[in-house]
Amino acid sequence: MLHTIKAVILLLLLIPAPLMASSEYLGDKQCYSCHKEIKKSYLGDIHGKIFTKNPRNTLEKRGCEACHGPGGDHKGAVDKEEQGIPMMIEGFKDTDASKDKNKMCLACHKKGKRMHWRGSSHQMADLSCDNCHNFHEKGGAVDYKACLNCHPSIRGKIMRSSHMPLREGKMACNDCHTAHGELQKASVNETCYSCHAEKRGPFLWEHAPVREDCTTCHDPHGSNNPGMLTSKGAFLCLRCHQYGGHVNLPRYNRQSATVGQGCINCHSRIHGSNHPSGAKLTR
Amino acid sequence: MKTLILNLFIGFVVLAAPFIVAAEDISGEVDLRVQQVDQDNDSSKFNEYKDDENDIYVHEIKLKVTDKDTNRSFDFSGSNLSRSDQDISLRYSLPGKWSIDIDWSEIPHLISNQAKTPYDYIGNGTYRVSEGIVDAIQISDVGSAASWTAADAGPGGAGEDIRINNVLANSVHGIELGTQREVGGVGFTYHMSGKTKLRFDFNVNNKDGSILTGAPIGDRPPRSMTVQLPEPIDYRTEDYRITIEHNMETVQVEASYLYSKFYNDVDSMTWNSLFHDAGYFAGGALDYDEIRIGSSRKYATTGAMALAPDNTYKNLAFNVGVDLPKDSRLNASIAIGEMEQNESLMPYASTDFGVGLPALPRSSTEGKIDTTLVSLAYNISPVENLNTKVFYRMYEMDNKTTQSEFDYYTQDTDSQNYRNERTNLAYGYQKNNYGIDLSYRLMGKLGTVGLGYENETIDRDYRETDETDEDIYKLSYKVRPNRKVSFRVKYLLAERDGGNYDGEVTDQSYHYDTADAGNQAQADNPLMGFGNAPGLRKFDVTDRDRDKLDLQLGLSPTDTISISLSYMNKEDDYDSPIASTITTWDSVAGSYVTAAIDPTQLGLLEDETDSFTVDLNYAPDDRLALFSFYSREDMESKQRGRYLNENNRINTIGAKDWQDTSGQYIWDATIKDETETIGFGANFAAIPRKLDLMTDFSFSKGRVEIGYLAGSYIVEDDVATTANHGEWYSPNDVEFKTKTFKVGANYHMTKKLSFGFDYSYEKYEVSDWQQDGSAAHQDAMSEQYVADHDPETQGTTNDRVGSRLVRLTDYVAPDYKVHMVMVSMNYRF
Repeated sequence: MLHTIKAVILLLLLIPAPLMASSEYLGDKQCYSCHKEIKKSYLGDIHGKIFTKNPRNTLEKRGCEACHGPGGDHKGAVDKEEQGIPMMIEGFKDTDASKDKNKMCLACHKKGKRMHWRGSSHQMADLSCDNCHNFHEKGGAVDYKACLNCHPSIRGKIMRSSHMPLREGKMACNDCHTAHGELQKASVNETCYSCHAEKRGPFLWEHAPVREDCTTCHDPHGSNNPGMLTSKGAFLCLRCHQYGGHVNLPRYNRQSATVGQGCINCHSRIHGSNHPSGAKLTR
Repeated sequence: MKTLILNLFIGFVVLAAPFIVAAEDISGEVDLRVQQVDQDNDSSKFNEYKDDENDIYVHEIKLKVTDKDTNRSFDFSGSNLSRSDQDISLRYSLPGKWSIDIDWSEIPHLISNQAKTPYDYIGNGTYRVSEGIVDAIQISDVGSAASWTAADAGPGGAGEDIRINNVLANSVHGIELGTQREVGGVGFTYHMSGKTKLRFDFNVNNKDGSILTGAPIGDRPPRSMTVQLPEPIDYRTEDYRITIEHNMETVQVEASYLYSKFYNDVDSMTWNSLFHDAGYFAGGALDYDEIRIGSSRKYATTGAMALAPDNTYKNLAFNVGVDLPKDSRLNASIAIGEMEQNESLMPYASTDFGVGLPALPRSSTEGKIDTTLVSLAYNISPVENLNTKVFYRMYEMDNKTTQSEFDYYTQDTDSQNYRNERTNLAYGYQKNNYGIDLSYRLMGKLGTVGLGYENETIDRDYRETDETDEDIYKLSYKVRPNRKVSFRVKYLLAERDGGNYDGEVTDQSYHYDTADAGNQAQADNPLMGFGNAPGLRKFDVTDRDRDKLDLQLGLSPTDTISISLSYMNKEDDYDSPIASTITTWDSVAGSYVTAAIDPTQLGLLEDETDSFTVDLNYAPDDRLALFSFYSREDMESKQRGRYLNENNRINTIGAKDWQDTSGQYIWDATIKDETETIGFGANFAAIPRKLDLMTDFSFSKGRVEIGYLAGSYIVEDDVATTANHGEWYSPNDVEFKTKTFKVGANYHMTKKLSFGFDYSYEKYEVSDWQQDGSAAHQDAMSEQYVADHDPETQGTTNDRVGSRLVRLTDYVAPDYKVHMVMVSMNYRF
């Protein structure tokens, strides 16, 4: 009898829930009462700080419910989660609903670096923001290991002897890549120049493929060759340079291959020369 | 600049101090570490990008202060403080209103601490080797051209190598190769309103130290004397950027302007020759250079090289995103940039050779490149679940550098015995991409299908092909039928058409005035030979077929186990048609002629990559988590070359090297590059909330194998001696192995205080024929040996021995083993 009474009361409580639906915003305090573990990190991150202290619009004033939607229905349904009843709130857990989830984020974040999110390779691949970001952590920062979840072939490259200081924590994937859609760097080379401005030139004597694309010769993710080159010294050069001035055999560079330098022991200005006698990039 | 940034830090802390003291909400943590490092071999590789030494230091510090009334925040974080790999960042902000950010990061790049050189750095880019060492090199030359033999050249032989090496062995001293980068920035953001944001950034990037470079003196092999030297690095880049955003409900606009200035405080590098001392032998006797290289060419006793020039870069960019009807959006970017460089040019050579150097056609570089970016993308979901993108992108690099004819001097050598000039070519290109991408989510849990087409054309100036045109087709499918399985497959097919390939395009850089030369059949007349092997196709501009397959499978059979598998294959095929004849300029005849060539394709032929990874995670309960991974990548490339005797340049038409179809002049190389990485580890809460244990192990192995096969004309009979100087052969495999093992414990004494103990072991092994020098500090490249064993010149006497290389070291970064013990204390407040 007691169970029947409880069930009837619960049913009566649930009936008006859909009717309240989207109009029922409960406020952050109601959320904190159950989600104590989230409260501290939320108040410490950029979302919590702005929503609770300096909201700039109606949406931000809603606090937790700005992203998760109104909590009225959720409050009523929460006890039923284990019975398969929907949580009645955006929990950012269903990985097949990226478009719906991203709408929540893009309500505020379709500006700045995310301006061109729509149409980006990640968006077209049906990724949602929470695939990479943990919103309750400060900045929701993404380290390179998160990228490796979907780009596993890069891990082996990073572990190679010749590599960028990624695994040492001195670089991150987004130093070069724009995960939210192309916006910043206009070309591969302009990306590289942002740290290697000495190669920006323009030089008196240019090396044409160098001017066009650094990745013609370098694999920035890592290599088993010195200088992150895509092939060993003399062999890399011989892919494009076979003329009568040298005999075009790798033997010619057997000795000059010392310390992995190969042809650039003499042609050291391989990225461009600014000397009037630098036509062959030796000055 | 470092001082400025640090002063800003201090100033900020002082200014914020009253606020910090008065604030009610203060939190943070401090992590102190004591570490002991035991390294068996002082290899630079261990500290390539870090600064791990016996030390007591602040590993991590965080301070977060918030005024609950005003919501002002002060955030400070730092890591590895006082070390050369430290990071510091500070933010003072009123979230949503304004913020001030200061960041500082230091990045070491230790290249080698094994290097040795006889040269002393005396500042301002100048290296000097003492007169006594140069004199000793001259004395060491007791032989003569006629007495030079292959045995003399051979490492370990009784000849000149030993004598010179003995001199060098007593003359070199240690130097460190490496750089230290300091990256700092100050940023200020101001939200002018809820819709408009203004940001100003100033960033500085300093880089100091030295890197390895080669410095030759001599007109060209076989008459060049090269020394490896530490190239001085003293760079500074300053970036100033202002950005303004205006964001409305349906339109977002961003405009930014960047001014970037690069300074190099060392404009040039000079060094005196080890081998040439014009004044050493009085009375007209010859010095080392003159004996070995011949006295017909005049060499400077000092080499001079231009280093990276100061330059500027400006960029103005507009980005806009507009929401349009029918759930569509237009994204657009327009950016214009300008690179400028106008460094004063050095003279042709460091000496006038007694005849005076010609005047330069201009006194400075007059380098200028304009860049333009136009990018448009339109997205629409015309029907439910269909996401469509059409796009167009144009990037142009318009090189407006002034072009002039420069006299053809080479490495501080008087090579002006005939009229020969080079024009600096202003390479530029324009890249156009357009295409469409479709993504359709199938009903229910059937997944998402993607289709795409893209066209890419690149128009280039002064390259072998005027335009490459590539069609790219993409297909993808992604499904997650339930929470236990996910699957993704992507396939890409691309065909690049290189168009008409003109291997003679490099002639555009050459000017050879036959009227001035007096002898039209000069061997050094570049127009007398092909600019490049006629059968060669440069892989970045020639035809290419590309296939790429990407598979990923994720399995979670239970709540405690997850498995992830991936496979990727990429194949590039550069097969291109080669005509059996070529039209070329015959300077002797003074007309274009048709020459027969061997239509065998040279250069990079194929390039294939296979990559496989597997990840396995097992977490049976909240206390234990096990993880493991394995990845393997196999790359294989095939390339082909052709033996050419440079003397045949005199007679292009009759040069049998070009025409022979028997394969006897051909060499093939297959390069296999394999990398394997395996790792596993565990995290275990031995006493929940009190004691955490963790361990992990990883092993990575990289191997490069070169299979070299030469035609009968090239192959030598005398394999034993050719291994040293002459004929090439398949070298030993290159191998890198890295093992790391870590074990650690973390004891939480209280909620705020914890102590940690970590032990790590790291072993690095390298075996590389390129680094394994065969003599102490220098090698003779021994053109003499090549000449003696060359089928076409065998038996002749050749006094052009030349081409010595004095190197800095054998192994730049050799093997090492390291044990490291670390004790840490972490306090949270």
